[in-house]
Amino acid sequence: MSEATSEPDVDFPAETDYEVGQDNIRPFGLDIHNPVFVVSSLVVVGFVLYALVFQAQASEFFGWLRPWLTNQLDWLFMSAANIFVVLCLALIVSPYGSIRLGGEAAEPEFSYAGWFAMLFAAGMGIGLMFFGVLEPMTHALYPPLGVDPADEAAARSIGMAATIFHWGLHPWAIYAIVALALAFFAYNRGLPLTIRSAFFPLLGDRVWGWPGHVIDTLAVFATLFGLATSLGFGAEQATAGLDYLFGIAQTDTTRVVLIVVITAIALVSVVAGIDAGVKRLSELNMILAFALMLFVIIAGPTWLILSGALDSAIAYAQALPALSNFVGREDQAFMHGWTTFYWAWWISWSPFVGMFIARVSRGRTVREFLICVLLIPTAVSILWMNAFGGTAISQYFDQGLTGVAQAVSDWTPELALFLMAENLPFTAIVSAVGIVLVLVFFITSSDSGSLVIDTITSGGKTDAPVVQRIFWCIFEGLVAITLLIGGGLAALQAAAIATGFPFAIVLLVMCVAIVLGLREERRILVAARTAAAE
Amino acid sequence: MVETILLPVDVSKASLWKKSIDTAIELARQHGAKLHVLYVVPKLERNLARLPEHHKPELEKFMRAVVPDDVKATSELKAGTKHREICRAAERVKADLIVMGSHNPKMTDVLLGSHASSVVLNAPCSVYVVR
Repeated sequence: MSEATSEPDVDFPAETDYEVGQDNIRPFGLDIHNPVFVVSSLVVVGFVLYALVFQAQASEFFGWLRPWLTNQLDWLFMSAANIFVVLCLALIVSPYGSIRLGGEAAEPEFSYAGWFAMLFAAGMGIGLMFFGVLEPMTHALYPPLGVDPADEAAARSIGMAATIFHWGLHPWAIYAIVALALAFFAYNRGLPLTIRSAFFPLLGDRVWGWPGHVIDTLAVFATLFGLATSLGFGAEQATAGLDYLFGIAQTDTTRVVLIVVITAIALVSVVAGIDAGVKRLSELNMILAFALMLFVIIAGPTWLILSGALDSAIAYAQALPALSNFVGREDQAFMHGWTTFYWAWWISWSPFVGMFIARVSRGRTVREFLICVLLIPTAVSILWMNAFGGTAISQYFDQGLTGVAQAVSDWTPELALFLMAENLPFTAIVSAVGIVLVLVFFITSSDSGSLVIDTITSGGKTDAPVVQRIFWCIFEGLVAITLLIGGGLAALQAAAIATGFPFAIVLLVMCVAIVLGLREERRILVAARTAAAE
Repeated sequence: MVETILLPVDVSKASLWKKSIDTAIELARQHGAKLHVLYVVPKLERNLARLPEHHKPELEKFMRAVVPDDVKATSELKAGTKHREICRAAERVKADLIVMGSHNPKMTDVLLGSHASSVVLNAPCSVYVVR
């Protein structure tokens, strides 16, 4: 390794005798972190069994759980996300912003272009495919914040603004917090790149004991159920697409077969360790997604999309305070059905995305890191939502095409993308590309998700046996299947919210740890500088 | 006069590179040259928790086990693209000779060119490709 990225030459008080894998047990050739692996796998197995054996009961339970959670916990999710945004913005302007991840002398490992591409890649996924067309249209037809749906201009504007709200600063602030904590404690303190390390300043060596086990177990649940939710959306959309293109019936059987096949493909890549294969696949998908967006921009109302991107960014900024507020809102259905669910879903994804962003951001200053992680993916989301949602909205309002609007009022969300493509040239090709994108995102997320979960459940070990990854890969598929059968999308959403809740608290505590860690770092750096000056 | 020999090795698959390692050691002895062992690892691995510096023990073990005591040797771990890092290291340590192996051309090599051929193309010094 180059000298630049080696340990900083100042002494930092993160002294710990912890050794990676010290609490691991090795039954049957596995290498697992005893409490974390055992507890999380038992709970997941139990959950899958319960949902399969008591299907009717489970379905009813999830149907009840979803609204109950969002009604009870809206204040927590919404205030937590607001705190994350405010903290990120505050850190950008604070003196802590100049602290470098990896120590004073660290150099960025990746060029700006490479880094941006990877931030962009982290933010892309099944969700953008599923909601890109659907969400702006929905909010334009049923506007939040008491906007009159008859006022076309206002409805269109708030439709885009509300969608960007869900895909903009808030989700990326959630990811940025996790990524910043992981990066700081891994690179500046030399702790393992795992969630519990972020709690070192608060818990000291106890993070290697049960408080740490709890944190890691929660991270595993969050990742597993957040991922299962995405896989569920993907399965719904791909099935709808196959039905649309080839007339394959949209039944639970089709969905289950689809999840099984995709999981099997992800499994092959996990077993064979074809790292290069998955990497190329995900690069190919980036290019494909970008090409699809360009096509929609060109084939759709080009000028409207491009000027709309700017307009909707402004509309977003204007509506931001009102949309973030959760006190005395009239539009409870929007706030509970969309915002609260999204925040929970992003939080459940945060260990996964956060770990990736942390890994590629060594050598950046805190300021540079936060500005880029917050702004670049937000800008991409704005463009994406304007391309896909803007086209759908224009089809409805300007051309009188009711396809997507119909999907919204009938609530067949998985069809939205294909109904929008219907009115563009090369419909069949565009729809096919859409399905391929969903399927490949599916494979790559399932593959990398099992890697992240495996890393956490093997106590930070980097060379754990492949069997463990196989285990998690299969269980991701199984969780997605059981949730889809036991209550469909509502069950998936309920699971994401249920696991997002405890992890939201973990993230709030993480904020305190970040501030403590950065304050200490700055104190030491300033002291070192004064000492050097004397 | 050969004073410094650069030996790029994938330490994790040292057995595959035995021939080039032996050749480099032999040449170093003949010329009384210093051997600089370079281990290039990917910047980003799929297992995110594995950082480039985590490969250091492998390299140290390799140096102890494979490089004989009578040869003066240094080692370096770099993260990046193999052929690029090899050429950069050659310039940095002012190598007079790069000794490296060349695996049998596989499909991907026909398409992309092996690391050895890219190094031959761009190296600032002589390159000894061991077959």
